[in-house]
Amino acid sequence: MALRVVTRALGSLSLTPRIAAVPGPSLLPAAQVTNNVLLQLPSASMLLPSRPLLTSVALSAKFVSWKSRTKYTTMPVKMRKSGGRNHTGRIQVHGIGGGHKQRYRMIDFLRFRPEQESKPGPFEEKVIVVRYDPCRSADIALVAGGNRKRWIIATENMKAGDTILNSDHIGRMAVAAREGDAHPLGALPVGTLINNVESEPGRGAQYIRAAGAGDVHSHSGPSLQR
Amino acid sequence: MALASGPARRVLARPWGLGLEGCGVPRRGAYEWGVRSTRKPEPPPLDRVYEIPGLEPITFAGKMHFMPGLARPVFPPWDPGWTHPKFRRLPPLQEHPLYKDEVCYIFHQRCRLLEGVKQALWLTKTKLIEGLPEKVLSLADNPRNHIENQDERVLNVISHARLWHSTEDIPKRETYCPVIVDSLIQLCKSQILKHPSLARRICAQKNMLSTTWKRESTLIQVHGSSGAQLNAKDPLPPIASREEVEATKNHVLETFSPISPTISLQECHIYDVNDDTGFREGYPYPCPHTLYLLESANLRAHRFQPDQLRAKMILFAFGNALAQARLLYGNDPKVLEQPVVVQSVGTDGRVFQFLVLQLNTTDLASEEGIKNLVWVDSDQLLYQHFWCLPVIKKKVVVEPVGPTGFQPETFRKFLALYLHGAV
Repeated sequence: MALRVVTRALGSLSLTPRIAAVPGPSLLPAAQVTNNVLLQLPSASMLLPSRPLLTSVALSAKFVSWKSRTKYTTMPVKMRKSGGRNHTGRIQVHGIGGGHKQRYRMIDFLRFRPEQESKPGPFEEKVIVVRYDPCRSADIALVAGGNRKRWIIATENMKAGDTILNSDHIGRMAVAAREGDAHPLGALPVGTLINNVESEPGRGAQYIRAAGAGDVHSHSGPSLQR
Repeated sequence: MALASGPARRVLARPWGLGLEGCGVPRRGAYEWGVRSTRKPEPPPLDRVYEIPGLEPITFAGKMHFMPGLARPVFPPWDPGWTHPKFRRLPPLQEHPLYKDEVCYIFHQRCRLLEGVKQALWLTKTKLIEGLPEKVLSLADNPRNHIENQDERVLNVISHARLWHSTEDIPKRETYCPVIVDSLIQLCKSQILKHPSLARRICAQKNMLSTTWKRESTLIQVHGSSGAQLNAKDPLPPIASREEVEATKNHVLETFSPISPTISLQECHIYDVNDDTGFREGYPYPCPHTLYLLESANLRAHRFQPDQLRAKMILFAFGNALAQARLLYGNDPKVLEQPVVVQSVGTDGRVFQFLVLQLNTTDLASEEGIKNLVWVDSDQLLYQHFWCLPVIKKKVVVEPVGPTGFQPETFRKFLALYLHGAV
């Protein structure tokens, strides 16, 4: 759009002023035909008065994010690295770039995501394989439950063949927590090591996701989450 | 609500912002896949005058150009009358004549079952027996059935497929796998002189099989072509006796909760329930005898694991047997007095899996009752490795060109499966 403004502005310039069209012989006999008077060429010092013109335009960045897939899949997806560049194309964070090519495995951070809305209760899943993920420091585990498979962040001692429980239920007694299970914080006893924590139920895990990370569940009593 | 727009509207919509009840709904939901900038932009909203019923808005449609102050006209969608083949869209799924509300889980030739053989056994209500039946093994060991110079001829077949038939230095698996299977079948066919009833067989390829059955209220379908198939004029005799068949009543199929038995199958609403053996009526060789499944992809990641290959063999053999049984005895679910037997051989050019399936019952909806039987002989190497180029260390040939670790037992079993039913 800026380019169009520039070309339009530049197109209106000319070295010689345009000659007004010669009025044709009018029907009224009393009209006098006047000749056009050619104006003198303006000297270089006397420029035509005109609005300020834009003679340069910034190149817009053609940045399209690689994150275009809307459907979840367990197959690895091709990704484009940013190199520290933002959507304008300039470096925003220095020191990022290079490294081995990576494919992104779509991780499901919302652990309690029942397969069908019609069956809302806690459910179990089985760990199929635990493998290395090039995009993060933690390993990932392929878990299968019902008719679907998904990737989740694997905990330290998770291995193929384990069964993990995903629950949103808070009972009167604290749950005897096993490694790999997902419970609301209110259901866990004080002092359990937790990771992949979400700030509100249904948001998805955003905290304590890296390898070696693990926080101690410290506050007891009625918690803010449901 | 209608007065606000954009972020202001969203603020008013959120119940907890005004101190009302809404603590079950998170402020922001879990991450939704697909960045907003790559999604298609929404169409611009209609002008407010369209919300007033009964009023005809004054638009700039007649003026043929935009006019500030007049409403944006809403044009009827233009139907050009034809579509370019490049941009043709499929009609919505519900309008397809074969669309059904009930979902069907289809097994096709690229389905890799997560639980492998266990899942295939549950889907086909089958009991597994390790090792081939004695009848077939006795055919293998009987020296009268052997071809003359059998080992030498098989070694020649391997060298031909892996080295000689192609001009490349090291032929790829996509070339040598079908060649080795075809050559082995040709070697077996040379026994026609000894056993004339072998002539009542034909080899068919690329036939589409389709069978549907109900397994505990889920509809399952096997659909697809399975490579080469040997058809015969006479059916195979049943292998297990009536007592063994009755004994399967006590067998309990393995379940694998929390995983559903239909995982890795393709869910589909558009399917055809009618059975199709792949051959028309009046085909001179109606009975399926043996299926040959090849895993000939070059890359290891594209080939099936042995467990997944055995599961695919079980399901396709079962599909053929079920279609044949329904053709002979009707569509009603019942126990068969004459069980249908189908064999299957699966290979990737070096490792062979042998399978004999006996279909005893078509009553698959219930969990109890007589089960079908399958004998599986897995991971039979024909040869350990094949050197296409000689290994030379310090000017001495350490490994000559040719196969190493040849096991003649594997070809004897292959021959026995071929001769079964005709000897």
